[in-house]
Amino acid sequence: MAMGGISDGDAKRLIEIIDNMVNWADRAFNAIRMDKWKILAKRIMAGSGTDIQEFVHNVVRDIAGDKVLLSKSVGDAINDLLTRLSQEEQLELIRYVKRRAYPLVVRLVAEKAAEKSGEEGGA
Amino acid sequence: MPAPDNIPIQRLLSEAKSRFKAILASLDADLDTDKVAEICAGHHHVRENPIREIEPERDEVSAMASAVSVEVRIPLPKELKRIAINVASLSLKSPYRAFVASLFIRRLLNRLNESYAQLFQEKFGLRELHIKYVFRQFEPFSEDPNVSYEDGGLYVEIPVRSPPSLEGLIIEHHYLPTLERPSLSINGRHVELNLRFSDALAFPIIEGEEITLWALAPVEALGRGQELRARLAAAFEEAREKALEDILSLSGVKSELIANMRELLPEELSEYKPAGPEEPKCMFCGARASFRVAKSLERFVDVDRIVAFNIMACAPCKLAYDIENARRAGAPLCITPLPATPNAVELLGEFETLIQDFRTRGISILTHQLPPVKTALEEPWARILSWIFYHAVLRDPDEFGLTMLKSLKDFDAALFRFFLARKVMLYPFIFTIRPGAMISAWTTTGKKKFVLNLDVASEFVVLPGAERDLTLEDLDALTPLAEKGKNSIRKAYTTIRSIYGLG
Repeated sequence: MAMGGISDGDAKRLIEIIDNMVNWADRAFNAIRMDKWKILAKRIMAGSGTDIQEFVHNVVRDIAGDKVLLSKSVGDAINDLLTRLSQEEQLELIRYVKRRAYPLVVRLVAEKAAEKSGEEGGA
Repeated sequence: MPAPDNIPIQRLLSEAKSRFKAILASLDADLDTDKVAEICAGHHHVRENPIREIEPERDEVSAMASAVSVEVRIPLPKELKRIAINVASLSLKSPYRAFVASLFIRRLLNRLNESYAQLFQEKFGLRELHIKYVFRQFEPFSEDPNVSYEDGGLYVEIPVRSPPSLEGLIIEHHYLPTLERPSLSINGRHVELNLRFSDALAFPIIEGEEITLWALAPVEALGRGQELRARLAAAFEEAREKALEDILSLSGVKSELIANMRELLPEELSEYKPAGPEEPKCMFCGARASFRVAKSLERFVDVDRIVAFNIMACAPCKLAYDIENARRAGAPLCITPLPATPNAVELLGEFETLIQDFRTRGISILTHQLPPVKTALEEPWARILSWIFYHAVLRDPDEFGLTMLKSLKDFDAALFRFFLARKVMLYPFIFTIRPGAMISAWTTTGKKKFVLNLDVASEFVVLPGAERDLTLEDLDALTPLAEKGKNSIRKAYTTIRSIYGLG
């Protein structure tokens, strides 16, 4: 499913970037770790930014404060989106993700579970 | 039935009658098979039959082809009266009234089933009806159904010439006289649907702030239509009274209220009468109020839902308030399916090949133009589709129609795939549907009293959630999951429940 130049793949990648940047393992998240997907969806829906970098920064800061992890692979993933998408497309992607934050998070979680169990399509 | 285009209609009908006679031969001892075969073969060609208005003679079909559309709404009540009886019209002026309407419709469908079952038994000796569609490839191009009758049960097995992808599919419909609610089981390629007669013959429609339950009935101008229709109308009247009594016997209704309720509820439920200048107003809907609902206003927090700041209510709102009050710590969701709307249709890919196969053999088959017209007769089935949609995720309801989401133990991946994709095969067409429902729900947080929340047939909110409502737009974004394997599907279900805060 896609809208204009936006693909669901990019939308899920953006959510994954945010998820990977939050240091969920930190003790500060002990009480809310169970609800991490709910928190992620809610904060993404409420997030803002004029480009992807600003959007990611704002959402991650909103969730994690300074409990942030930035790895080489996350940096590469952000770079990939920045180079592939124009400013206009980045804004479109942000709007797309914000509007579908809840279902996209569900899909990400379900697909991760399938990957973990080595499952492929099976309808 | 295969029908070369150039055969005159009379010959076609005569051939059809002979074929029906052969199919019905096993019922010779119980039935005037000659008469029934004539009716089966020719009833669509009788001028008085309203089906003629949407199924013109073959020579008119080409002229009509350009006019069909996928989303033809059912006719106006005036036209509907020719083929159905208005069993009940209920006001939905307030969320509480809508909740009582849901309770009433639930019981009325059971009572209507009794009415239909009694009529079928007495007039036609029919107690149960069992239809079995068997999808398989066979030669020659068509095969006759098997019909048998035993001890009031009519059994029909219909072979469906199928493309390879549907080979082995068996769909069984059982129409039963004493069923309390529909049920569905899917076992690989074997699907069984247990229905009440009323599920296939009655349907609600919402218009403005009113919900009307229609029950299909014989057309007066056709055969014994007048007599049967009058008989059904009387039975429906009785069914309505019994359904009201059923509601009053629910355990949430205080015994001291029953006499007053019995007197006021029928009229107040069907007709909304605003309170006069000197009369007490219902705090929930503004109708004339006769019952006290609470000691003070302090309990209520939904100020915007209170119509009049007093502590009085009309009969329907009082009844719903008491039931909610008695149950608010428990199951918080009541869903009454309404007819679904088809919003996209495509022809099953392999069917094109099948038609080509017929054509190369010099056979043409009569089939609907694409897409077929949706008529009032499909409304009950459209409602059943909404029921299946919700049945995919909801437990069986309790006596109040209150329910919760299924536990993972009862989770059915095949049904949940349907919930996500909403694709329905009306062979050979594949429809995508938009389910409809009247939803009553309330929050259970704290000790404060929230007025029942409701989303009447918005065709937008699918399930209300404490965190966020699951909408059709969200469901569209979730649809790709329908193609995934079992682990993904299960994980998706648990995640949806948790992040939306669904009950």
